[in-house]
Amino acid sequence: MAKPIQMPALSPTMKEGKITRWRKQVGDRVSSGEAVAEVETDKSNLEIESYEDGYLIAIQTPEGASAEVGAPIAWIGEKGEKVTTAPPAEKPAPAKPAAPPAPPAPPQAPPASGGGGPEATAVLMPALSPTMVEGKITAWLKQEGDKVSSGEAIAEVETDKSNLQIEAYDEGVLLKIVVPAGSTAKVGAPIGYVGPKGARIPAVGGAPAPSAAPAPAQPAPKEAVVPEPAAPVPPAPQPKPEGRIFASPLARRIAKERGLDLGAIAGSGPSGRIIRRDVEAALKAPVAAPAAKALAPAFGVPLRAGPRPEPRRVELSTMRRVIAQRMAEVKPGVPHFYLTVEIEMDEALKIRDEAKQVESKISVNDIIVKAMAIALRRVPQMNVWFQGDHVLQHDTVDVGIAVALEDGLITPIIRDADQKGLAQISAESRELAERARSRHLRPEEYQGGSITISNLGMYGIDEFGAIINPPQAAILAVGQAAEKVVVRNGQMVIRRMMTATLSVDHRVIDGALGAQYLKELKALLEHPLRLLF
Amino acid sequence: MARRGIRNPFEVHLRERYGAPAMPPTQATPTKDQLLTMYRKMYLVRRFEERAGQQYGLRKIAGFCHLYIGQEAVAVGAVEAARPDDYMIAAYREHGHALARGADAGMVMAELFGRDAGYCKGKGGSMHIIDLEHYFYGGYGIVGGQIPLATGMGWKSKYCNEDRVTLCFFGEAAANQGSFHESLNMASKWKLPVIYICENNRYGMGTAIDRVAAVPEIARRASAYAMRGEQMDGMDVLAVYEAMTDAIDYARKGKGPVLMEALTYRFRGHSMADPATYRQRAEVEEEMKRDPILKLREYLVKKKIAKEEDLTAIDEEVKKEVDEAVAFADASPEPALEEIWRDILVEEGEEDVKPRERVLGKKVESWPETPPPDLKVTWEVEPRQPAKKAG
Amino acid sequence: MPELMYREALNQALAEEMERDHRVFLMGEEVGRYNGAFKVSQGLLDRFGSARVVDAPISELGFAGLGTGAAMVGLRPVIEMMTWNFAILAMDQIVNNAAKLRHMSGGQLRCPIVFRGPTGIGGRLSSQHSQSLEAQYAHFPGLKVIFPGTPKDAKGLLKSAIRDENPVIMFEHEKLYSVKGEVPEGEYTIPIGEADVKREGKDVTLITYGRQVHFSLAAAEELAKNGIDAEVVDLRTIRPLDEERILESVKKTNRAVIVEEDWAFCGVGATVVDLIQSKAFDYLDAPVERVTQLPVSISYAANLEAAAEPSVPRIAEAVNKVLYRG
Repeated sequence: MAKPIQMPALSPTMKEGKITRWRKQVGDRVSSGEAVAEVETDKSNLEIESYEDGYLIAIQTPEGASAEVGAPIAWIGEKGEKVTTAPPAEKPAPAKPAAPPAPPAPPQAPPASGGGGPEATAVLMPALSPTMVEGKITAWLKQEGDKVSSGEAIAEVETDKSNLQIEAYDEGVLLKIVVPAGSTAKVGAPIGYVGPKGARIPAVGGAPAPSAAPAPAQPAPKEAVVPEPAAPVPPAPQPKPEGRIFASPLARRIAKERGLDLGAIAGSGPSGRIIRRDVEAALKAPVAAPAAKALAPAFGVPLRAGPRPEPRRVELSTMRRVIAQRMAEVKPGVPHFYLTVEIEMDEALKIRDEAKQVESKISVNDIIVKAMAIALRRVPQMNVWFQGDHVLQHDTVDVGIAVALEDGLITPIIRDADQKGLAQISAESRELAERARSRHLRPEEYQGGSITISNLGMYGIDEFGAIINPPQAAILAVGQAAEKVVVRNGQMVIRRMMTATLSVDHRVIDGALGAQYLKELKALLEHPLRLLF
Repeated sequence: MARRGIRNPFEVHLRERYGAPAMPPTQATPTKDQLLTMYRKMYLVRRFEERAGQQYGLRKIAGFCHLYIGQEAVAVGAVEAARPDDYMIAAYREHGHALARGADAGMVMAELFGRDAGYCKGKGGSMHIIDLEHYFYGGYGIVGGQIPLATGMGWKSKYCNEDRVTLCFFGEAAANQGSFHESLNMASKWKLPVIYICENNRYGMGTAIDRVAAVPEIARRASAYAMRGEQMDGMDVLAVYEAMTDAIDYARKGKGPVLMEALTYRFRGHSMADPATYRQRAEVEEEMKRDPILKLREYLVKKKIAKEEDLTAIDEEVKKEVDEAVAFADASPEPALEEIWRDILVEEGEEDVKPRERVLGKKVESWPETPPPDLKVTWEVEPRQPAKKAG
Repeated sequence: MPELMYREALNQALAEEMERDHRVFLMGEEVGRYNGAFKVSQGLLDRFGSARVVDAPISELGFAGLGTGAAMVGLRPVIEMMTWNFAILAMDQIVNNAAKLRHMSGGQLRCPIVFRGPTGIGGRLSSQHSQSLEAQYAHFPGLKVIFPGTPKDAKGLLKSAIRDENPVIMFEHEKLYSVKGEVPEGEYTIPIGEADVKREGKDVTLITYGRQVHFSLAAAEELAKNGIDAEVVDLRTIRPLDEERILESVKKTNRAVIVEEDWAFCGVGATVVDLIQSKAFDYLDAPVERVTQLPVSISYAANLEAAAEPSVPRIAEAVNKVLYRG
């Protein structure tokens, strides 16, 4: 059976070698270790040796031809043997044929504007969250012809989670807006072009068209631009000055923990850096209560005369589209089961009332969050994510809070809730909820988490079941704490009872475990002193 | 013996001695078994290195790969003259030394492949084959860097009052390093039992030794340290065996270190990437006529110690062994990624790794012993003399 | 507790360990009959003989390699460098061999060896004899690096180093040899890898080692007069770094000043700053400051030498900066 001599790799960078001379000819006897040919590599001229004893029965790569590393260049076998495993020797095609003629150049796209000047740079729709696939431009902060500098915000975009700004990464002029306000573009698609004045814009045909037809001059959603009360409307579109706040990391951390707005604090460090003492001074100052949001008028819609109107088509917001898609996937994809328990809340409510005495605002929700976290610490098997072929076991306890928005919901997360005091949980959840409503949450503030609470008690709901927020494995749906007649020690008494329903991912958690968790939670809420242990 | 009639590049007489007076030659004569063992080992090294070269070409081996082809007689002759528990250490052209010492060919090849089944878990590669089971301490990549280590190993033998010697191999170019000078000076001053074996293959990478050395006969330098120095024909395994038997005997008796210079030749380039254009083809072809394996083979047949068929049978066995070594190496996985953190520091209570036990599950019988804490140090480097009190 | 000089404490450690383990030997230039260039090995030749207290030729590379070779076959050498400046000649053996033997052999070899000797700005010795080289050795995986600042730490750490199964690089500051300090009586060791809080405080952390421990403590006393309560953390071991102790202190004080005698560029303090910014970022109220030797070669002239060294006023200045004072 003939064996090949392969083109060896004679240097770490060698890709192919050119045979400059055959030392042996077909029919010659060769022995192992003997040089059979000379080869020119990218580095030097070297010898190729045979590793077999026998006769050179075929030369596949003739002198002057090249072969890639590893390709057979000749065959060694018995005297008179024919090569059967390779192309016949008399067809000495070099292993690497000459490059085929270059394909005809594609027709040049006609320049969209200007002549042969420099090419404009596309501004692409950025991926602003891990789940984002497209974004809707809510407003352009620059108009065509405006100068832009690198790092400057040029447009606002609504993603599935929040409203964010798109920055330019190049200096120049905003030459063209491809995706107008109100339209949506896929991540990575060009939304506009920036470049020196007169730069060439690539043919628009090459760029993906905006996925939705430009909506007729739709104003940006209300929460994106909060109008200052009674202020004259500034000439459109005015970029919001994004002044960076200088603060020491410690000052930032304290401010975040205590729900302070750094923008409202004057820094005393170098260049106005806010340092710890500034934050501490601000904490001592009285906190201004946020203005109560005016309720939309419930009455006053005049009855229409004439024909009943047809339903109107309302385009989905990005967030609504993502929620719709996710919920449709989650419910059938994650096998849910539900466990319901009634919890006597009188003791827990006492804590809330005690807090009021010391002018601390602690809600029932905050107490439940804390109890959920402690219970999770005690039943850690619940603190898992199902990942297909494995389970992620968490050692940190992070509790998500479902916050209703005008057009959807989001679940910001209280990190390490088991280790935080009620005041801190309260401050953080208020601050997170506020920023959720103004759609200013950062992705790391709503991603991950161990478990979520969805509380509809304030709407008078008694009980309900919630859909799990993957990758979490459970969600707690909480109704109102209402006075009910219950029997205690054979007596009918009135107690504030709350119904809580735990939805559980059955792929990873079974009924008994879920029940154990609820039992723990119930005990903690009914005897809230235990939260201290 | 076959020493006569060999062209000597330096025009000095072989086995010429320099420096300290020599012992009378012992005229060691190997037995038939020893002769066949030498033949087998030399051919094993040759075949192994040829395969290593092939596997390098197939990109199974990467990095630097320095082949020992042509120099086999030096390592094999020296190893056969030594005791199995004598320490041995070499530079980076050391696959042959490890194999001559008895290392498992498959595990050496696996090391060249960078695989878990290698002697050093694939962490060392071609330049760092280390096999303590056979008292082979490697495997060093800095020219001349192992020479002080050998001196320290010899120091230990003297310190512990044991009759072990250390064989230290290096190339002629390493003799121009400061480490060579510093080591020989200390070894001779303290009479350490080390045989420094200079394998003079005439070229340090591409530079001929006489272009960069004022005294290219390395053995002559021994006289500068008042130690014994000697040349031997490195293309004749019997000459090496005989000369090394003498030298080892001298060192073992506590008479001090020896500098041996083996005149040899590498048939290949410095490394796999070396075209060796600095040598004339005629020179290489001339030297290849002195192939140490062919020489021993002719000798064995002529002296009727072995028949052609016997030797061919050995060849076939060796070829099979080497083919199996390649297959073994290829079948071994790469080291586990956790290995990246291991063997940087010795952790508290961590045991040393015994490669054949780890890879093949074989009980390793021999392993260099560590001296006990209460060992008796009876040696004095110099006579006791009351130390002057500091002023 | 009796007061001992730094050199006497080292001498005790050597004598005790050589008594305890006969595999331990001391080799270096002038360690025997001369009794040590800095008198660390005083009296040891008489006590242990010339095979265990060995006067080496001036061959730093050679005897560093000899020690490494002896260590890999089971002895436990202590190799004294007359100063670390000379050990640059031996760096090949220390870095290419001692630090790599365990690794290259895939766990077959170990190298229990101590390389030790004086270092730092010794006083009017000019540039070749005044270098701080600890950062260089600390760079290499496979080596441990210690730099004690007090007699007690010097003795305890040298004993641990001799018993360690790995190569240990020990720096002893030339100007510390005559410094006295309390040394416990009887057997004790100080573990490699543990920093020591030499002074507790709440306002700022001074992280330091070696001779600068004394400068830092002096600066802390000065600062106390102005109502600043400084904590002084003595690293004692440079590699492995005691991350826990450093972070604990910085999280408490929210400010750090690193005081070191080596050069700032790629110096030990750079690694400490990196640790703090990556693991205690949210605790910092000010950027970390460093007080180091100026980026120059040390001059013979007294004024130039003094100006290049860290000093109490420079430490105080850095502390004021991180406290936003003045």
